[in-house]
Amino acid sequence: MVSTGNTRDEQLAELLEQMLEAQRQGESVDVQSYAAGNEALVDELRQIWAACQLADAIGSGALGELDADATSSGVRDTSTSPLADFELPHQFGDYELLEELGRGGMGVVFRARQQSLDRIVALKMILRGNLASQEDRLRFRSEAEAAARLKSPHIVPIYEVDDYQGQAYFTMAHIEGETLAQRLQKGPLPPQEAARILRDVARAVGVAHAEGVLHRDLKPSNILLDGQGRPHVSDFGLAKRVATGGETVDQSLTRTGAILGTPSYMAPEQAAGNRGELGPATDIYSLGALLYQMLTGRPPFQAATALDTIMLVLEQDPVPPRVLNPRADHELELIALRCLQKPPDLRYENADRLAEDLEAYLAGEPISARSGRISAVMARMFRDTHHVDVLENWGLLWMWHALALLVLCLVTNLMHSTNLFQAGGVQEPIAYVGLWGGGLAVWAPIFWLLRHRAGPVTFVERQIAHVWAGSVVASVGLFAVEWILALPVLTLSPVLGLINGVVFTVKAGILTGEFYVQAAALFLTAAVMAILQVNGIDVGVSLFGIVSAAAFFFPGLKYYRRTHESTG
Amino acid sequence: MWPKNEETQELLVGAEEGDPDAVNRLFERHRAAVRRMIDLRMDRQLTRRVDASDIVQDVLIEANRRLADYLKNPVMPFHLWLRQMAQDRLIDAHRRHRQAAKRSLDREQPLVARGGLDQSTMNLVAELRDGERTPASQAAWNELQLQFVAAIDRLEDQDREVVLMRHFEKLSNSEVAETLNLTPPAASMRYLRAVRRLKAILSGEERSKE
Repeated sequence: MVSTGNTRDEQLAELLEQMLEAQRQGESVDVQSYAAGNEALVDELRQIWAACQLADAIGSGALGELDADATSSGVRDTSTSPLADFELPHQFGDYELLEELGRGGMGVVFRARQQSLDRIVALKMILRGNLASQEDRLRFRSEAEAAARLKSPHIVPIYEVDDYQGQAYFTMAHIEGETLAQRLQKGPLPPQEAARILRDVARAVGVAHAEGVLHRDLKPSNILLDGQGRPHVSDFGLAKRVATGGETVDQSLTRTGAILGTPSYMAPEQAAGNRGELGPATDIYSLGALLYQMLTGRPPFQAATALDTIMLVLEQDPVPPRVLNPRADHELELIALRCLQKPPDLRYENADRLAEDLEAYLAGEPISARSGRISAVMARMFRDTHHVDVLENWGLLWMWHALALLVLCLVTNLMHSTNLFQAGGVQEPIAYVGLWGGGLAVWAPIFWLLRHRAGPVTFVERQIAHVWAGSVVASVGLFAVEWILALPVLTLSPVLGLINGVVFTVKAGILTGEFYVQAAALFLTAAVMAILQVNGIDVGVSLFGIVSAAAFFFPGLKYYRRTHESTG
Repeated sequence: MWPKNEETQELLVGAEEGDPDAVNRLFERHRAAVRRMIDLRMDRQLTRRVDASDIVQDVLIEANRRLADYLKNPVMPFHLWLRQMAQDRLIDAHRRHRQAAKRSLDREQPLVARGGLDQSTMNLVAELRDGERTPASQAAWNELQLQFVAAIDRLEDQDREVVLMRHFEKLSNSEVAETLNLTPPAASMRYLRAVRRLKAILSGEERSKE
């Protein structure tokens, strides 16, 4: 992933080609990982990539149209669908259509009487344009049948999936009431009610996920509230189809489909069209968006245009609900924000965990989103940052550095314990200063030169080099402090552990949280060195050498191996 | 958008062996893509004068005439070769009608104000309609397309061309390079420049340049 281009634009162009190629191969593309180590590029790359995604989706939309024209000889008119011309009541097979309840992009919903069973149902007819080919019909049927198998008190049950005189339709229970969208027009919901509704919806989604059915288009207008205010989720798995394979046309339509949906409720991975990544976490995100809107009265991201909304979903963090509605409940806010995390793995693991948290909230018990937030912070602390790939340039160098440090410390310790440079019973610091200062002064430029040869030095590496240089100055400075305070040489050597602990703490922040381990080990070493010194055991500097060498050697080895795996 | 190569290769072998059916099928399977490529690029003045299917027909007739030469010396993949001819035809048509009709056509122009939704934009939008509608998303999708098309209209010709090739015709970078007579790195630089401008327009950083 290290770009070989020289100028910034060459690097960008090459990264872009790599990403497009990966996407054409059906891989999901993470901008961060491609731009790793190129801090200066990542922002522009992300924005340009968003534009590419759009161009591709729109270009594929045009493609879908072309192929549909080619296969159905251009006859494809949804605007003059016969559906528009019913006079109600209208006989439709076993059903008597009584009243139109609504229409959307997918079809028209009627209230209907099923005569054989004498019951009122909701009947949804699918616009012909949505099911152009035989294959589309079969797929629709199998998906509707999968959805029909879902059993939950909070899922609108599907009774029948069929077609009548070539018109595909399905019937479901008719819920008297209003949609959540209608309810939200009156403003935010009281916290208890919001929590109760979302808990039930999350349970329903959990049931569906257990059956392998994703909803993919959870939004207020798909949640029906009955007379008692209980939610019922409709249109399970029917809203969008994610193909599992097949033709390129299919894939392009799917890609288009992936960016479709209602941008305000879409998860970032969905908005970016990364169809490979759609999973239960995508629905969890949408559940969070629902909760957010119940708390604030508006969805988490809403801009003047759909395009701007998608940009926000991809790039921005949502405004905390309490900024929009000061009376929004803090705990529910935490729950919503946890669902709305951009990396899918930082959201709730599954819908049931979300439902349990809402249950806990309703029962007045502590919620996990709070501690969860700490654990999310911890997870974030210990995960690799997007700069970590920098280390791939450094693996071999770190192993050499470990050796250099070890030798330096062992020699120092040896000099000290054998009293080599003694004058009048007191050890001369000059020799040590020469060894340390000289050794590091020689080694550092070699190190830097070697690093330079591996390619351009990034901003992050410069930061790390600065911390490092500072630590070298501090280490050698200890001799000066000892001399001024008239302390025997190496008295302050335990401080080396502290200095290097700080260096690793900074690296942990910049590169990967794994370095907190090294930092802790070095801090601990400082204490042990002090204890050894008090007890007159002169091995402290060697101990420091071993610990700090290990601190460099093992990550060095790890990243050295990683580089060799990724290139070979 | 362009048909897959493997079958094209088989048909080319058939054509070389003198199978008239193979020749027909070869052109038939490329007809839609050529049409599409032309539709994406006809400007609104020309649309009122010339039927795109006439140009497609001309391209296919010319291709048929020159097929023997091509088979002897296939300098580039077949679909790029066809594309090139279509491009030449398109340029010819634009040039001819611009000059021949400088008086008449340009005077007709006030029908639509420049910068607004002109005919070529609307044609493109009509083509952009997607087959898979989802509840409530259609309006957003339409709006997105309109915005996008407006943005693409404001790109310079060179930039627009490379975006159309990459994202609408789904040509690879090396195919674009071959078509534009550039090295692949130069083609990807041009592509970068185009999407960078597109992004600037889409995100409102670059207001009207007119």
